[in-house]
Amino acid sequence: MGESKRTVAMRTDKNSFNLDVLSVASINSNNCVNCGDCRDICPVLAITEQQRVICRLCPTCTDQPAMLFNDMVDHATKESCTTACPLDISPQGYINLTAAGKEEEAFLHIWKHNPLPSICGRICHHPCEQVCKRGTLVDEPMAIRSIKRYLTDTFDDYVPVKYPVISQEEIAVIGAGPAGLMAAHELSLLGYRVTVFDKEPIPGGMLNKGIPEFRIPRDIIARDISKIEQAGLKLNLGVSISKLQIEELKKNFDKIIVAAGTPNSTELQIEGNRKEGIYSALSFMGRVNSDQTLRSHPGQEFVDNGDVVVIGGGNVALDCARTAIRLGAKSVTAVCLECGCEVPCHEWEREEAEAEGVKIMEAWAPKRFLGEQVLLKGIELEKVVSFNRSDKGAIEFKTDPEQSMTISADCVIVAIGQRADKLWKDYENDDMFLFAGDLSENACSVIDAMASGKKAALKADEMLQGRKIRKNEHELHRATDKERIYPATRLRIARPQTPVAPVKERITNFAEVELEYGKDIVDIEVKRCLQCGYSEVDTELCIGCGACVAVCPKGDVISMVKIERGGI
Amino acid sequence: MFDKRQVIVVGAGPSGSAAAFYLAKAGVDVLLIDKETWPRDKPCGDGQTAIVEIYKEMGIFEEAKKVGFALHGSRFSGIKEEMTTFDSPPQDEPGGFACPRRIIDDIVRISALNAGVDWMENCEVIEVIRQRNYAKGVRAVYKGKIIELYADAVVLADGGHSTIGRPFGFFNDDPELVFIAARGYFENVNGIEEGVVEEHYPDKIFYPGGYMWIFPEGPKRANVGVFITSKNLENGNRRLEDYFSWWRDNTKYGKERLGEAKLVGEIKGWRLPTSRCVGKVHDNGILAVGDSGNHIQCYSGGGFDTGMKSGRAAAKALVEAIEKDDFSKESLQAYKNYDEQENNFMLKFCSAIRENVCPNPETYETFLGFARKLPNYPYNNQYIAYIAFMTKYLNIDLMEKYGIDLRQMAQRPTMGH
Repeated sequence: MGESKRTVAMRTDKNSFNLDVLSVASINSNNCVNCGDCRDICPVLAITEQQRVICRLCPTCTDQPAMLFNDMVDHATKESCTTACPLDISPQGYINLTAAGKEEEAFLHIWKHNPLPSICGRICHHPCEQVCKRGTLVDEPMAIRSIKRYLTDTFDDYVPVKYPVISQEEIAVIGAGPAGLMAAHELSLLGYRVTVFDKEPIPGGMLNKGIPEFRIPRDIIARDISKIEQAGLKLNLGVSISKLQIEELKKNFDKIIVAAGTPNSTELQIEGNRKEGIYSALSFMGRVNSDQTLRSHPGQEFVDNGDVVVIGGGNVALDCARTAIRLGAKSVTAVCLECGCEVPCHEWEREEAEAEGVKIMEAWAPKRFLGEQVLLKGIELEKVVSFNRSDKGAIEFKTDPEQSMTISADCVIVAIGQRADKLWKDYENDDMFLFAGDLSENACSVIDAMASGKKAALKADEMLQGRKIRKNEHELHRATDKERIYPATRLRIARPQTPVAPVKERITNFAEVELEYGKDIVDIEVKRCLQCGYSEVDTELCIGCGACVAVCPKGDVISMVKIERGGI
Repeated sequence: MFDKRQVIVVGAGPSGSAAAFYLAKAGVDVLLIDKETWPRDKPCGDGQTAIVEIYKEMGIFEEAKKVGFALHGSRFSGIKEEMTTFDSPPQDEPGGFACPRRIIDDIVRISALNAGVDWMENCEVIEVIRQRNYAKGVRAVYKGKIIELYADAVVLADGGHSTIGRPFGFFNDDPELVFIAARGYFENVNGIEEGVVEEHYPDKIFYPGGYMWIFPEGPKRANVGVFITSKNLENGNRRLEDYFSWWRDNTKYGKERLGEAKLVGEIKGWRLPTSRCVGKVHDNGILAVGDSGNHIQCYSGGGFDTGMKSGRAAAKALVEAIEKDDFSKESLQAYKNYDEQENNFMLKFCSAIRENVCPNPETYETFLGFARKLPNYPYNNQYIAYIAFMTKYLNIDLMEKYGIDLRQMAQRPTMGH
């Protein structure tokens, strides 16, 4: 029955094909690095991703408990680094291309999927590492982000190939943040003429405005974006889009992707919130980031040698807190409603902040700001006794007025969330518009914002061309028993510590805190990968086109083999 | 190349150390490497039998006698939980020992080093270097760096998980022949006798070939373990370490032995690829010895003796290959031949026992009843009982069906596996 497809495909010239002898692709599972390029290109979906079962039968073989046989087998196809990446990058692919000495191919694999690789190599919250089976089943996950960073820094002078210009349709992208740039990159790769608009003179959006320089140096942001420009993307900067311009855009463009983000801070509506020295997170970070000299910028007088209180416990709050430390604050306290594991910041961010001297007060709610007239002297806090966050993110909490305290404050930074411009509400149901980034869904991290940009781009393409570009569905299949991985044979080397600048040094300046792995460390670290996944060809479906052989970045993985089958 | 050796042996367990020892004795330049810092613990039942000859050749017999507990008998129970005993008549010297592998393995390794073997520890091999289809050395991680070590031939002795031997086809993953075992040291074990090992087959999940064991190592102290095929472990739907509590709570002997016992340290498990006869153990420039060459008996799980003997056979073949300067598969076929001479009898014999004596609880119970009725009971050799049961009771021609030459039995020591 499976033959019929092939017969149709081959019957164009019956003299030139011997249907009984066919060439099909064959993948050497030992050499395959699971980058997924062959799966993406295969026109007949004949290539699938296999996940090897990792043996976890014996107690004490690894740091993690032994499993029931069936649980162990089921775990293989639950998740993998390849399914965890919102941008469909295969960490296993670039890690093992690096291990095979093909660093450039590894870098190109990243660049193809991710136009902001150096940025993600520094600040991505790496969902891939969370599900890495070396971490969940053995000891510690692969240092995927650090390897990515090493690759992007090694190929910092890479000159990208120009985007193709195939299509007549023009697309406008509003917002040059991660979501907008990703959408623009994806559409440019598909051959559209894309123009990006941003009201700031420097592209990058929240990367520039929200994230402090010690987490991501500005030249790194510029480096990634300049590559997109080199590839041919038009950036129209310093252009603020209002209702009038929108009408103009609608005339000149075929689709408009709105990735304008949430540029407005949520205000804290409590008594005394108009006093001097109270900033929103965005206005505080904006001031600091627009004038990096530590002295003499507006607001400095409140921070310098003063007591700084940050309201909020998310990553933005801690970024503000760590920035305040660098500006010379006497003390920095972050006050948040949540406690324990509910505090929304990442654990490593918290560790770094606490190491730098940030004090975190859990389960306290600000009641009012104290001080005469416009002067700020302190904040009255009340203890939070119950806290609940709904699935949609709405927060409910109760405080106990009996338990209150006052802390002194010369400067307060309010980091309790951001809002979008109201303008876009009117266009939500307009077919011309597609929304990405913070405007589309709860895309609170850089990588999620980029993924939403990609999604919007593909949706635009689907609407304009009436086609659906097949993306790797990432269905995981369980590999045969022959491929089982035995952690007992793993390279028993600990994940290297990410090098960080010493606390004493780093709190005095805005230099990058996380440093780069050296080549010698990367060479060993890439060998820690257990290599859970590989690609496999279904020879029943393969039409022998050879596209996979041409696209394989490793070169020693796929070959065409003759098979003999009669009965057609 | 300054870093080229004649032979590199990967893994310093008993098989690798034995291979290195015999190579060095013959004047070969040999480098022994291991990923651990020695001495190291190795999960095992700790029983070593049929090793007197090789211990004597290596000059460690007296030392082994000092540190080991001499074995003189064995006890078995089946699903009906009736104890059947085989006790050896008193001998001048013991036929086997029970000794923690952390101690005995180090004695074997040091004897290799004393014979002139060069030694690197903490050196984790990640792959075999192949040139023109020949193994030409190994790539390893050593002190945080990747190094390459070259040699005329590589001896793989890296244990039952040997994945670096996979590209050569040495790896056995037949779920019926691959056993999984776990062991723990227990104090206050009741009802045991020093020098007498126990094997219990209390449930149908253990058949064929699996059991719970007690290897006494001192008064009321024992190495207790579970041994089960990976297929049965899958079917049993129980975690490996849970067999200990299951045995204690659900069986007569489990309750007696472990009812008041206390676990010392932790339970450790490992993988035992067994075989019915010597299989694929060599390729161009490479030999697999010990567990990595599947030299484990598929009935008892014993592999200490067969492993060391495979190491000795590998050394013998390599010395000849070095003289000819030919490390091709054809030249190294001599290893397989020597290995078969050394080990095929025991591997095939255990395969026959597995198929005929303990394929299921009923047959095994029949055997135990048969054994208890033998003259001289309980002072019989268990292997004689197996042979009698198979040839006399079941009327099997072992030579015809399995190619087992019973005259070789005379060379076996009288005790244990």
